[in-house]
Amino acid sequence: MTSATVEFKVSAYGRSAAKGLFGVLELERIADTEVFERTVVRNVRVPVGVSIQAEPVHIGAGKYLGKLRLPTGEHISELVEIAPVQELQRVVLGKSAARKKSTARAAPPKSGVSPLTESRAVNQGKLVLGDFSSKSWSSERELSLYDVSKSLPMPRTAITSDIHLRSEVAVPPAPFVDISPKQVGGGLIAYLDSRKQRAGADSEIKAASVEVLAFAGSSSHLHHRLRQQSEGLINPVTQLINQVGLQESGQHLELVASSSKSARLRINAAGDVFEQSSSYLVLSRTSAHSEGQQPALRASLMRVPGPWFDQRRRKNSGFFLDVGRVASASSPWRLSVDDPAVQSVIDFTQQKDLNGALVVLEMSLELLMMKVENPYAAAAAGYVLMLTPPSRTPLGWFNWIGNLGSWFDELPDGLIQHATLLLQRSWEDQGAELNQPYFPIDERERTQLAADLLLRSIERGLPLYRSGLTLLASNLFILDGSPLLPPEVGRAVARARGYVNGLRRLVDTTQAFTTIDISSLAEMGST
Amino acid sequence: MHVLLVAVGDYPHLEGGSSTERFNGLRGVGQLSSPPVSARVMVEWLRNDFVPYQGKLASVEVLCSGTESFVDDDGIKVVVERATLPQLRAAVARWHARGNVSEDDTLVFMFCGHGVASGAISSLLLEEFGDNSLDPFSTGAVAADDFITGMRSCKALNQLFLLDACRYIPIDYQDEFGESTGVPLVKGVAHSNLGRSRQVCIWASKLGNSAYGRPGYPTIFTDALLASMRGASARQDEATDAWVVQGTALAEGINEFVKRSEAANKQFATPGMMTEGFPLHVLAGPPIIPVNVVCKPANRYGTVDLRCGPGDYTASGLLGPWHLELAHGSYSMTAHPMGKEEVIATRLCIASPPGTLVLMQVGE
Repeated sequence: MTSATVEFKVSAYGRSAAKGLFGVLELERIADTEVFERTVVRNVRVPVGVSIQAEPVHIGAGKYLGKLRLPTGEHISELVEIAPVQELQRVVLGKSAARKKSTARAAPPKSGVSPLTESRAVNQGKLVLGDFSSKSWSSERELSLYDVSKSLPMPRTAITSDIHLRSEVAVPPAPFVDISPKQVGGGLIAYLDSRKQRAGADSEIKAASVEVLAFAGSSSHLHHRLRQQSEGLINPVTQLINQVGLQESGQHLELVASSSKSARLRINAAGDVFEQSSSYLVLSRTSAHSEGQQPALRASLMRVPGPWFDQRRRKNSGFFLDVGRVASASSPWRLSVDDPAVQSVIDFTQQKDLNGALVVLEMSLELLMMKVENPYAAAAAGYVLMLTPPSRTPLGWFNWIGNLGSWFDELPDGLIQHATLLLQRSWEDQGAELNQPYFPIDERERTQLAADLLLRSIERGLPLYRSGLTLLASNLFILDGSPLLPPEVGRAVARARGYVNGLRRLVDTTQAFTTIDISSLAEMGST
Repeated sequence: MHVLLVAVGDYPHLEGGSSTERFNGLRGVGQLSSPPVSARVMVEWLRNDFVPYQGKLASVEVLCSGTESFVDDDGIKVVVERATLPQLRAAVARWHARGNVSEDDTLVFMFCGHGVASGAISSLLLEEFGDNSLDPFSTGAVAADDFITGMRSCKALNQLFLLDACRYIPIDYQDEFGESTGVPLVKGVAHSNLGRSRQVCIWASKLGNSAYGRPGYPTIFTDALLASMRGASARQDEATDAWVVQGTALAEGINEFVKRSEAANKQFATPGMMTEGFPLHVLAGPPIIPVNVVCKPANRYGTVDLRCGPGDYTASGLLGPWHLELAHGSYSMTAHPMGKEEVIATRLCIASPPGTLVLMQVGE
């Protein structure tokens, strides 16, 4: 393949032209319309703006789909043809006349579309209307209120023209209700039997291969056994995996994908087996190897979101699983959501770039925080808010986090975030709006609630996002040895700490979604 | 501002160590000469060049296991304590107490020595690591993440952790000593600082990677850190117009210099957490920016002269990229056939943080 050097530059693009902003460029080599044989240049930070130097990228010649995600959530995609010549080539993405395809940031929600689903403090008989969006966005819009206990819009609506301010609308006093989960964890586990070698039997060298098998069933077994088998063990997940997979009786097994080359799987797309809500993927990959030789093997257990609703585009979306040739040789797969705003938040979080994440979040907060429609996106936003200075956090978000943990039984992340607020955040900026059952004043009560939340989060399985595992560990460290906990809870916290550290030893730190390395088990051939 | 520097060069129980009790759990991990040198040059830089953005440099405490000499402000040689667990515990307690007075205060912790990692858990190894071969991490290692979490409850909201250590996973480690992570040094307690605390943590290397040193010289990380303090990690302060080194810009600036070193493509400074960060050091003049001039195609190296102005910088017959350090500003680069005046390529560039790359297309 002829190598070429290309300068990518992004022209001034709306609000993104601010000095110092960078976008993330991905280049996909286009082989056919269904499966991309990918040559991906990931995390290339392309300066945005007319006055900033372009970024050179070394890639092979050919046709690419260049996808640029800006910090503001804008998503530009453009077909780019790189000539097989030595000269420096230049590509300008953005508002260029040559742009063939571009998807600009979605417009604000139209009237009738509810941009805000969350905000209530039922104990006080008030409904607090806080707009979680950018403080500088002052266009008038309609806010529809949801009765969160029924997940339905309330009959009354309110108009606010100034989102800097809160509006308070009186509603009949109601006792606090522990609302039942709106989404029950589904059971879909994909299992890849790495022992099946699909490469041609006659070939001397068997190609690297990837297979994904899925079987349906409740994931509660997984969670339960995760806990039972792991306490006090160095390597809990190894024990866990012995108990799942094909040994579960009555599971329906289905081949999802098999590939001996790089592939992109679209998951939760219509018609495939992932259309149900999903909890875990087990993936593995065999290396190229000679006939009769044992292939090197890499296997992972990955927590994946359920059905993904893209609030901005108002449609069911999904996520992509890239397997094979991706950026890092140590990470043969990567999960990404087909939702530009959320993926931007995830990427910036992964890059430890708080300001980048906040730029996206502040422009998309009301969408990200519609947790009834997409609790997984809400959890991603929650992790950024945890680390955000009080001056930049939205109104009422403490109660919102409390609800996130309370409503969604399958998702540990909300409980971890709630416990983090109890143990590590200042409540001063929340004023009197705090929901007392979520945020008790008494220190002992607060500490015990935090312990309970964290232990319950472990019952729910792996956090969806790796950030959750980090916060879980830091919270358990704070609680371990606390004199405010009853002895039996203290012992459970100590055990949980050992368990979580066991998981952290095996976690794949290149992944945004929690992924545990189970290669050692797969080599044992337990299935 | 209060600084605590910990440098470990002597590991008596590891390969090449002075003790007869040898710990064999970490193969290929032995004595280091560069951490004590790093500590000394850091002290010199703090004393001579550091201009704190806020407050003043109130204390610098050093623990060092090695042969390096340190002097006080009057130039008198001082004996520093060894970097053992008991000494470090006591030093951290003092350092924590100094920072636990005011929210506006700044704490800086730098560790330079061996480190190991297992998954997402990193441990820093102290001098006596391996003295108890049954439980080496409980007697000679620091659990880095727990230490930082514990420090979050300290009143001083500006905290910088510079962790110059490997983060790779020795094969024997996880199997034999997987339960241990090290000592947290600071007990975890509930606090209200998350989101307010501006903790910045910079690791010298990515998880799973090594950090490098040069025998008898400062580590690659220390060298790059101090070089980046001249401008690569600086940003212009909106309030004062001054150029200020920002905690969140450190990793980028450091990497600009690491990639010029022997550790290029092997070591990458990496932020350890997502944070708002804080301004650290005010530059006395304009920032000095690393500028790399690359010729294309590469086979023209050795055949061209490169010039840069203003400043009349020249390079002749280089066999690889031209590494310059230029004051922030606009420059014109030209390429010429070696020994001739004919201009075969011209580029204008702006030298700006963290670094600038200039591609010179000098023909076939």
